[in-house]
Amino acid sequence: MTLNLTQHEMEVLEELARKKELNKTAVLRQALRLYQVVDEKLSRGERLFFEDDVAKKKAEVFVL
Amino acid sequence: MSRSPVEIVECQSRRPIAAWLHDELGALDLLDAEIVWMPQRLKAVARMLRAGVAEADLPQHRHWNWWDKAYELKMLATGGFGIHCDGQWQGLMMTTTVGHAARLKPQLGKPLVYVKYLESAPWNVKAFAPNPTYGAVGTRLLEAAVRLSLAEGFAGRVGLHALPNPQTERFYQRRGLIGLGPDSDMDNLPYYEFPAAAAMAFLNEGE
Repeated sequence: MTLNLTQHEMEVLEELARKKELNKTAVLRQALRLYQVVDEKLSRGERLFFEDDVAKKKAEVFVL
Repeated sequence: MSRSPVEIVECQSRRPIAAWLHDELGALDLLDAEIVWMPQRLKAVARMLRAGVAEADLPQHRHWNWWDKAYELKMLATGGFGIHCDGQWQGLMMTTTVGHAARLKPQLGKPLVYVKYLESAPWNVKAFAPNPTYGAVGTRLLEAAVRLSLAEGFAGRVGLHALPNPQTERFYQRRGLIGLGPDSDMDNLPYYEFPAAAAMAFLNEGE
Protein backbone atom coordinates (compact mmCIF):
# COMPACT_ATOMS: atom_id res chain seq x y z
CA MET A 1 0.00 0.00 0.00
CA THR A 2 1.01 3.59 -0.48
CA LEU A 3 0.89 5.89 2.50
CA ASN A 4 0.19 9.54 1.77
CA LEU A 5 1.45 11.89 4.46
CA THR A 6 1.59 15.67 4.55
CA GLN A 7 4.99 17.26 4.90
CA HIS A 8 4.30 18.01 8.56
CA GLU A 9 3.22 14.41 9.23
CA MET A 10 6.36 13.16 7.52
CA GLU A 11 8.49 15.50 9.64
CA VAL A 12 6.87 14.18 12.80
CA LEU A 13 7.41 10.60 11.62
CA GLU A 14 11.07 11.32 10.88
CA GLU A 15 11.55 13.03 14.25
CA LEU A 16 9.99 10.09 16.12
CA ALA A 17 12.13 7.65 14.14
CA ARG A 18 15.24 9.63 15.05
CA LYS A 19 14.25 9.99 18.70
CA LYS A 20 13.32 6.32 19.17
CA GLU A 21 16.15 5.02 16.97
CA LEU A 22 13.68 3.15 14.77
CA ASN A 23 13.03 3.22 11.06
CA LYS A 24 9.82 4.85 9.84
CA THR A 25 8.09 1.52 9.18
CA ALA A 26 8.79 0.44 12.78
CA VAL A 27 7.38 3.71 14.14
CA LEU A 28 4.16 3.28 12.15
CA ARG A 29 3.92 -0.37 13.16
CA GLN A 30 4.30 0.63 16.82
CA ALA A 31 1.66 3.32 16.39
CA LEU A 32 -0.81 0.81 14.95
CA ARG A 33 -0.13 -1.68 17.76
CA LEU A 34 -0.59 1.01 20.39
CA TYR A 35 -3.79 2.25 18.76
CA GLN A 36 -5.17 -1.30 18.79
CA VAL A 37 -4.30 -1.80 22.49
CA VAL A 38 -5.87 1.54 23.47
CA ASP A 39 -8.97 0.91 21.36
CA GLU A 40 -9.38 -2.58 22.81
CA LYS A 41 -9.11 -1.32 26.39
CA LEU A 42 -11.53 1.55 25.78
CA SER A 43 -13.97 -0.89 24.13
CA ARG A 44 -13.86 -2.95 27.33
CA GLY A 45 -14.85 0.10 29.36
CA GLU A 46 -11.37 1.00 30.63
CA ARG A 47 -10.19 4.62 30.66
CA LEU A 48 -6.90 6.20 29.63
CA PHE A 49 -5.18 8.87 31.72
CA PHE A 50 -2.02 10.94 31.59
CA GLU A 51 -0.61 11.65 35.03
CA ASP A 52 1.96 14.27 35.98
CA ASP A 53 3.42 13.38 39.39
CA VAL A 54 5.29 16.67 39.70
CA ALA A 55 2.41 18.96 38.82
CA LYS A 56 -0.07 16.61 40.53
CA LYS A 57 -2.24 16.64 37.45
CA LYS A 58 -4.24 13.85 35.94
CA ALA A 59 -6.10 14.14 32.65
CA GLU A 60 -8.26 11.62 30.90
CA VAL A 61 -7.39 11.02 27.27
CA PHE A 62 -10.22 10.68 24.80
CA VAL A 63 -9.42 8.65 21.71
CA LEU A 64 -11.44 8.60 18.52
CA MET B 1 2.80 -21.11 14.12
CA SER B 2 6.52 -21.11 13.29
CA ARG B 3 9.10 -23.07 15.20
CA SER B 4 12.87 -23.42 15.39
CA PRO B 5 15.10 -26.03 17.04
CA VAL B 6 16.66 -25.24 20.43
CA GLU B 7 18.40 -27.23 23.13
CA ILE B 8 17.31 -27.52 26.71
CA VAL B 9 18.97 -29.65 29.40
CA GLU B 10 17.79 -32.85 31.03
CA CYS B 11 18.50 -32.07 34.68
CA GLN B 12 19.25 -35.59 35.90
CA SER B 13 21.76 -36.54 33.20
CA ARG B 14 22.87 -32.94 32.39
CA ARG B 15 22.51 -33.96 28.72
CA PRO B 16 21.30 -31.46 26.11
CA ILE B 17 17.89 -32.36 24.72
CA ALA B 18 16.40 -31.22 21.42
CA ALA B 19 13.29 -29.07 21.76
CA TRP B 20 11.28 -26.65 19.64
CA LEU B 21 10.84 -22.97 20.22
CA HIS B 22 7.43 -21.85 18.95
CA ASP B 23 7.04 -18.12 18.42
CA GLU B 24 3.43 -17.59 17.39
CA LEU B 25 1.41 -19.30 20.09
CA GLY B 26 -2.35 -19.20 19.89
CA ALA B 27 -5.02 -19.37 22.58
CA LEU B 28 -5.37 -23.15 22.18
CA ASP B 29 -1.66 -23.65 22.89
CA LEU B 30 -2.06 -21.81 26.20
CA LEU B 31 -5.12 -23.88 26.98
CA ASP B 32 -3.23 -27.11 26.20
CA ALA B 33 -0.44 -26.03 28.55
CA GLU B 34 -2.79 -25.01 31.33
CA ILE B 35 -4.75 -28.27 31.16
CA VAL B 36 -1.53 -30.06 32.09
CA TRP B 37 0.17 -27.43 34.26
CA MET B 38 -2.69 -26.44 36.56
CA PRO B 39 -3.17 -29.88 38.17
CA GLN B 40 0.60 -30.15 38.58
CA ARG B 41 0.77 -26.79 40.34
CA LEU B 42 -2.16 -27.66 42.59
CA LYS B 43 -0.68 -31.05 43.50
CA ALA B 44 2.64 -29.40 44.34
CA VAL B 45 0.91 -26.77 46.50
CA ALA B 46 -1.03 -29.48 48.35
CA ARG B 47 2.19 -31.43 48.91
CA MET B 48 3.94 -28.34 50.27
CA LEU B 49 1.07 -27.37 52.55
CA ARG B 50 0.94 -30.94 53.94
CA ALA B 51 4.69 -30.74 54.54
CA GLY B 52 4.13 -27.66 56.68
CA VAL B 53 5.17 -24.95 54.23
CA ALA B 54 3.55 -21.65 55.22
CA GLU B 55 1.16 -20.15 52.68
CA ALA B 56 3.37 -17.07 52.43
CA ASP B 57 6.27 -19.27 51.34
CA LEU B 58 4.45 -21.01 48.48
CA PRO B 59 5.65 -20.16 44.94
CA GLN B 60 4.36 -16.69 44.06
CA HIS B 61 3.11 -17.70 40.64
CA ARG B 62 1.07 -20.67 41.90
CA HIS B 63 -2.16 -18.91 40.84
CA TRP B 64 -1.05 -18.08 37.27
CA ASN B 65 -3.39 -19.22 34.55
CA TRP B 66 -2.21 -18.90 30.95
CA TRP B 67 -5.68 -19.52 29.58
CA ASP B 68 -6.81 -16.32 31.32
CA LYS B 69 -4.11 -14.46 29.42
CA ALA B 70 -5.03 -15.94 26.02
CA TYR B 71 -7.18 -12.97 24.93
CA GLU B 72 -4.04 -10.81 24.90
CA LEU B 73 -2.69 -12.79 21.95
CA LYS B 74 -5.11 -11.09 19.56
CA MET B 75 -3.19 -7.84 20.06
CA LEU B 76 -0.63 -7.05 17.34
CA ALA B 77 1.78 -5.98 20.07
CA THR B 78 1.60 -9.28 21.94
CA GLY B 79 3.90 -12.20 21.26
CA GLY B 80 3.38 -15.76 22.51
CA PHE B 81 6.38 -18.06 22.78
CA GLY B 82 6.72 -21.62 24.02
CA ILE B 83 9.27 -24.42 24.32
CA HIS B 84 7.89 -27.81 23.33
CA CYS B 85 9.60 -31.09 24.11
CA ASP B 86 8.62 -34.59 25.14
CA GLY B 87 5.05 -33.95 23.97
CA GLN B 88 4.51 -31.11 26.45
CA TRP B 89 4.91 -27.36 26.75
CA GLN B 90 8.03 -26.96 28.88
CA GLY B 91 7.84 -23.20 29.21
CA LEU B 92 5.80 -20.22 28.01
CA MET B 93 6.43 -16.52 27.57
CA MET B 94 4.23 -13.60 26.61
CA THR B 95 5.74 -10.31 25.41
CA THR B 96 4.51 -6.92 24.33
CA THR B 97 6.16 -4.25 22.22
CA VAL B 98 4.04 -1.30 23.36
CA GLY B 99 3.26 0.39 26.66
CA HIS B 100 6.76 0.10 28.10
CA ALA B 101 9.89 2.12 27.43
CA ALA B 102 13.48 1.63 28.58
CA ARG B 103 14.31 3.00 32.03
CA LEU B 104 18.08 2.57 32.17
CA LYS B 105 19.85 5.89 31.66
CA PRO B 106 21.75 5.22 28.42
CA GLN B 107 18.60 3.89 26.74
CA LEU B 108 15.96 5.90 28.60
CA GLY B 109 12.69 6.25 26.69
CA LYS B 110 13.74 3.90 23.88
CA PRO B 111 11.33 1.13 22.89
CA LEU B 112 11.91 -2.36 24.23
CA VAL B 113 10.36 -5.79 24.34
CA TYR B 114 8.59 -6.17 27.67
CA VAL B 115 8.24 -9.70 29.01
CA LYS B 116 4.79 -9.80 30.61
CA TYR B 117 4.96 -13.41 31.77
CA LEU B 118 7.58 -16.13 31.66
CA GLU B 119 7.09 -19.49 33.30
CA SER B 120 8.63 -22.93 33.10
CA ALA B 121 6.37 -25.95 33.44
CA PRO B 122 5.81 -26.88 37.11
CA TRP B 123 7.93 -30.05 36.78
CA ASN B 124 10.87 -27.86 35.67
CA VAL B 125 10.71 -25.47 38.62
CA LYS B 126 12.53 -26.29 41.84
CA ALA B 127 9.89 -24.47 43.87
CA PHE B 128 7.30 -27.00 42.64
CA ALA B 129 9.44 -30.08 41.96
CA PRO B 130 12.40 -31.06 44.17
CA ASN B 131 14.01 -32.77 41.15
CA PRO B 132 13.21 -30.69 38.08
CA THR B 133 13.00 -32.47 34.72
CA TYR B 134 14.37 -29.92 32.24
CA GLY B 135 16.58 -26.86 32.69
CA ALA B 136 17.58 -23.90 30.49
CA VAL B 137 13.94 -23.39 29.48
CA GLY B 138 13.80 -19.85 30.91
CA THR B 139 17.13 -19.01 29.30
CA ARG B 140 15.91 -20.10 25.85
CA LEU B 141 12.77 -18.01 26.26
CA LEU B 142 14.75 -14.97 27.37
CA GLU B 143 16.96 -15.42 24.30
CA ALA B 144 13.79 -15.39 22.20
CA ALA B 145 12.81 -12.06 23.79
CA VAL B 146 16.20 -10.57 22.90
CA ARG B 147 15.91 -11.89 19.34
CA LEU B 148 12.45 -10.35 19.04
CA SER B 149 13.89 -7.06 20.28
CA LEU B 150 16.56 -7.20 17.58
CA ALA B 151 14.01 -8.07 14.90
CA GLU B 152 11.86 -5.11 15.96
CA GLY B 153 14.82 -2.73 15.73
CA PHE B 154 14.98 -2.34 19.53
CA ALA B 155 18.70 -3.28 19.68
CA GLY B 156 18.16 -6.15 22.13
CA ARG B 157 16.56 -4.04 24.85
CA VAL B 158 14.26 -6.14 27.06
CA GLY B 159 12.47 -5.20 30.27
CA LEU B 160 10.46 -7.19 32.79
CA HIS B 161 9.15 -7.32 36.32
CA ALA B 162 10.50 -10.30 38.25
CA LEU B 163 8.80 -12.18 41.02
CA PRO B 164 10.38 -10.89 44.22
CA ASN B 165 12.38 -13.88 45.36
CA PRO B 166 16.14 -14.42 45.46
CA GLN B 167 16.13 -17.38 43.04
CA THR B 168 14.21 -15.58 40.30
CA GLU B 169 16.14 -12.34 40.70
CA ARG B 170 19.46 -14.20 40.63
CA PHE B 171 18.37 -15.85 37.37
CA TYR B 172 17.99 -12.46 35.69
CA GLN B 173 21.06 -10.90 37.30
CA ARG B 174 23.26 -13.78 36.12
CA ARG B 175 22.12 -13.23 32.57
CA GLY B 176 23.09 -9.58 32.65
CA LEU B 177 19.85 -7.79 33.37
CA ILE B 178 20.14 -4.74 35.60
CA GLY B 179 17.79 -4.42 38.58
CA LEU B 180 16.20 -1.02 39.10
CA GLY B 181 14.50 -1.91 42.36
CA PRO B 182 10.85 -2.31 43.34
CA ASP B 183 8.32 -0.60 41.09
CA SER B 184 5.53 1.08 43.05
CA ASP B 185 3.35 1.07 39.92
CA MET B 186 3.59 -2.74 39.74
CA ASP B 187 2.87 -3.91 43.29
CA ASN B 188 6.51 -3.25 44.15
CA LEU B 189 7.73 -6.04 41.88
CA PRO B 190 11.42 -5.57 41.10
CA TYR B 191 12.04 -4.19 37.60
CA TYR B 192 14.88 -5.58 35.48
CA GLU B 193 16.19 -4.40 32.16
CA PHE B 194 18.69 -5.66 29.60
CA PRO B 195 21.03 -2.96 28.37
CA ALA B 196 21.47 -3.49 24.61
CA ALA B 197 25.14 -4.49 24.94
CA ALA B 198 24.49 -6.98 27.76
CA ALA B 199 21.63 -8.51 25.76
CA MET B 200 23.96 -9.09 22.83
CA ALA B 201 26.58 -10.66 25.12
CA PHE B 202 23.91 -12.93 26.62
CA LEU B 203 22.77 -13.99 23.17
CA ASN B 204 26.31 -14.71 21.98
CA GLU B 205 26.95 -16.76 25.12
CA GLY B 206 24.12 -19.13 24.22
CA GLU B 207 25.23 -19.62 20.61
